[in-house]
Amino acid sequence: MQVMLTAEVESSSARGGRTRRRVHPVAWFVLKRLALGAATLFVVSVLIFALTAIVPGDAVTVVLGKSGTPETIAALQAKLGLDQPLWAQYLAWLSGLVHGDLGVSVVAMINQQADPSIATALADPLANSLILGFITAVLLIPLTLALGAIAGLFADRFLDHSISVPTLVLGGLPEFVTGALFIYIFFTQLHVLPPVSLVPPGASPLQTPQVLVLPVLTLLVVAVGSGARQTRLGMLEAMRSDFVLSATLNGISHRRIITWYAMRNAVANAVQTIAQNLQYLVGGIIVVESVFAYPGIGVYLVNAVQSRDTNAILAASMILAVLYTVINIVADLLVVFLVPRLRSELV
Amino acid sequence: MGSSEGQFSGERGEISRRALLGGALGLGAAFGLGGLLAGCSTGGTPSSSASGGPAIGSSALPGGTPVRGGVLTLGVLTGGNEENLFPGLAIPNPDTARDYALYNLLFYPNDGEALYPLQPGLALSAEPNRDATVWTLKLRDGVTWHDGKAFTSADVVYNIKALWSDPTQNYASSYLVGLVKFAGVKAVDKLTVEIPLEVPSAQFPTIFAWFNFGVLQEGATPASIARKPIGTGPFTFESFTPGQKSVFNRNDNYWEDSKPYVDQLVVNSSFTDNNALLNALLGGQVNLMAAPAFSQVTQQVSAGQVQILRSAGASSTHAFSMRVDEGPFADPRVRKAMKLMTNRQQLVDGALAGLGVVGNDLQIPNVEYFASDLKPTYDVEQAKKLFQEAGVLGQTFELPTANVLPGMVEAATIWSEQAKAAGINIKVKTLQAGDYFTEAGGAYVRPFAQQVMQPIPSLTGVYRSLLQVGAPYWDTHWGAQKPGGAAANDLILAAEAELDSAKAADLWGQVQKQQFDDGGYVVWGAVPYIDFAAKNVRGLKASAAFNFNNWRFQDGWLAS
Repeated sequence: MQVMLTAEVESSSARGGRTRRRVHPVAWFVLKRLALGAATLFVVSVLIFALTAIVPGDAVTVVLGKSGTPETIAALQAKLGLDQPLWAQYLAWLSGLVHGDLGVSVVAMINQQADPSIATALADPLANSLILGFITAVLLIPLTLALGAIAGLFADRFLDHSISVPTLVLGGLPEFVTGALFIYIFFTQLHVLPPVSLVPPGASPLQTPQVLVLPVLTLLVVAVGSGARQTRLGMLEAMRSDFVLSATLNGISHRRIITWYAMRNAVANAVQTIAQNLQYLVGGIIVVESVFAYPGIGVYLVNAVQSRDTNAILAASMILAVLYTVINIVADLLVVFLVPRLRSELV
Repeated sequence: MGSSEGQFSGERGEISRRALLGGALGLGAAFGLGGLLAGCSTGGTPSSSASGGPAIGSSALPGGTPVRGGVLTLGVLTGGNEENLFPGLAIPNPDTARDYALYNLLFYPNDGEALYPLQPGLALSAEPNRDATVWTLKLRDGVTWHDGKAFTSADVVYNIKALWSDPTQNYASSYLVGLVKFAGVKAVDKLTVEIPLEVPSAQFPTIFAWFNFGVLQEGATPASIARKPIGTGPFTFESFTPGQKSVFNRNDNYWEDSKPYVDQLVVNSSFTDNNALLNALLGGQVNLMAAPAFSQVTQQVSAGQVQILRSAGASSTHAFSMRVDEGPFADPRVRKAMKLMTNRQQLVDGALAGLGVVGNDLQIPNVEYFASDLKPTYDVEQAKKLFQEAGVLGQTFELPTANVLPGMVEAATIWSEQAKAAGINIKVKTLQAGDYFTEAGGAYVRPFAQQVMQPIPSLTGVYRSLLQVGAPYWDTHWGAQKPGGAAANDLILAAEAELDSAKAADLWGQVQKQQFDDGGYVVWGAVPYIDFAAKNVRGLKASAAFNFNNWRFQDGWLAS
């Protein structure tokens, strides 16, 4: 049953309906998801801050290392505000964050670097990671749907097995194993691609696109399997469903049945899994960047953790959390738009 | 039944005495130019011998007529955001690689199997007065800074008084504080510096052969260096992005003739993983790889895809430390038993992949007066008997460890297994790597710990940093034990003060015998410095002092 997207409902305020607002149920759903996302990010920020505070030591003790005496460490901590109560440190950081200020790197300040701003230091790694993630996502979605649809249409036949088996096997391997396998094939044996993805500071990986191939391929292989499986299932169910049978009996062409009826069903089935795979990319990128020495936000975060650079950890973690949350919200919305039953439940 | 194990061997003591006597005579013996330059090269022989472990790699890459031009690109594991260009605040790798390119030390450790005699850097000689309480340094003439100014004694005086005396400006200041009378340091003339000391020190100049003592221009500060580093080193500054990449250009006015040979040095410190680093070397994106993992070294021995540089001497010592002044190890019988129960060869084979040599409970085997004649004994039954006498048989001791350097966690685990045979339990507790060697993390007050020592080229340096009362890394608290602590510390000070080489050898022999018998270290092994180079790199060497022979990239060139 098709539900009219233009249907509107009236919702009244708690004060006896004296002020009446007309809110679209989907808009209301979007607002709720955004509010929930914001609340999630707030909780995440508290958790990350608490975790960085619980771990013994801080940037000063780590950077001063062996030679830091209790006196010199205390003096530097006072200078950098690390002797303040935790809640005060958190509020100062949060206040900066909501004003778009990611703060300064404590480590960079200790080393008296000319520009200790985290925004400056994060700009290149973030851009590099976004490029890697975006290219992977752009390829992942159609690849997942195409492979899943083909496997579903040719279920239990050679084409299905030749898609399902490799994607499942490779998808089950950890990124560093898959990455090493690709390095062996494309560098050691074929000599066609570089084994590491070095990008000079200030340069874009798009200037040397060959460095992106193996990281993207590794992420794709790890992520594509589960989405394709769901698409295959959706396609299989659709092709065996009553509405496809009915459409066939009504003389609608096989191509139109596949592209218009069955594929929509398969996409709706796979969209949550694809969204989960996109969320996986946020974490998977960290591992893949390390395997290929790709200078992204993952490497930045690892370095920040090693040196206990709290502000840098918070900034990088929050950016990842925001990406994760946004993908989650977009996926939820896509599901609502793609699955009629869910839209009707909102009304 | 007891058995003796192989030891740090060689004739290093004889070489040193000859060198010292070649420079001066009797009391008032000096680190004259003759002594400094004596016996300083080993050539490119395969690294083997009892001192360096099994024959793997070579101590020098192939030579020939150097070819000018090209770019040397060093790949090294990242130091992250902590990386900086200020030598006083350098942490080993990759800061040191850059610092040795930009700056010079006053003296350098020897480039051979041993760490001595010293080699001249910006200082050509160091002469003591009669009782080694005042040292006079003669500086190299004709050296210019990267900005064209002349290097003079005023620069050295500034470094010692303003930078090297201050723990916030120099992590190694504790080597000099309490030893140097900073207020009295003065320039005698344009190329002569006089350094008065609080106490006599016969090996004083060796302290300057340490990576934190890169000489900066008068007036330099961490902030000025962060903006524009100026040194006297073989390469000039082009760019630096912490945790990623730095670029240096050939210094056309460098004081070593004809060097450097390459046009540019690039340090890529963006690697978080050794496998990625080796792949970059194999892929030609870097042509030098510092400090590969032990497993990569053994793999490359058979694969042969890269050149392996390996120092002839194994100088970086691995130890377990026990506090001698309090706690369970205050009883010398327990310390003795810990040494007896240690199967050192098993530790070297397991934790260092067989690439090191066994130790004899004494730190830094490649220095003058080192007691290589003292041989440890492996006797589990005797250890068990001593544990029983001390009343600790069956007890559990907690050993904190951390994955700070390769082999640490592995060694702790293997040792805990060995302890079971001797009737005690060692419970290994793994801590955060970043905190392990910090006071805030509990270092130097723990009763039981691990220690890995960076080579410093004299027993004075070793004992001032580890073992005499108040040392910055005083983890065994030697000298605070009762009874005998004060006398033991006095013996160290007497050995440090002795200028006569025969008497000094005797005193250092007594000091080391005490450590061997009663000290709080179980020094179970030492590793050489190992690096990788691409097949077309020439001229570089390995030494016991540091990676790539003190990161001497000015020696390197690329075969066409």
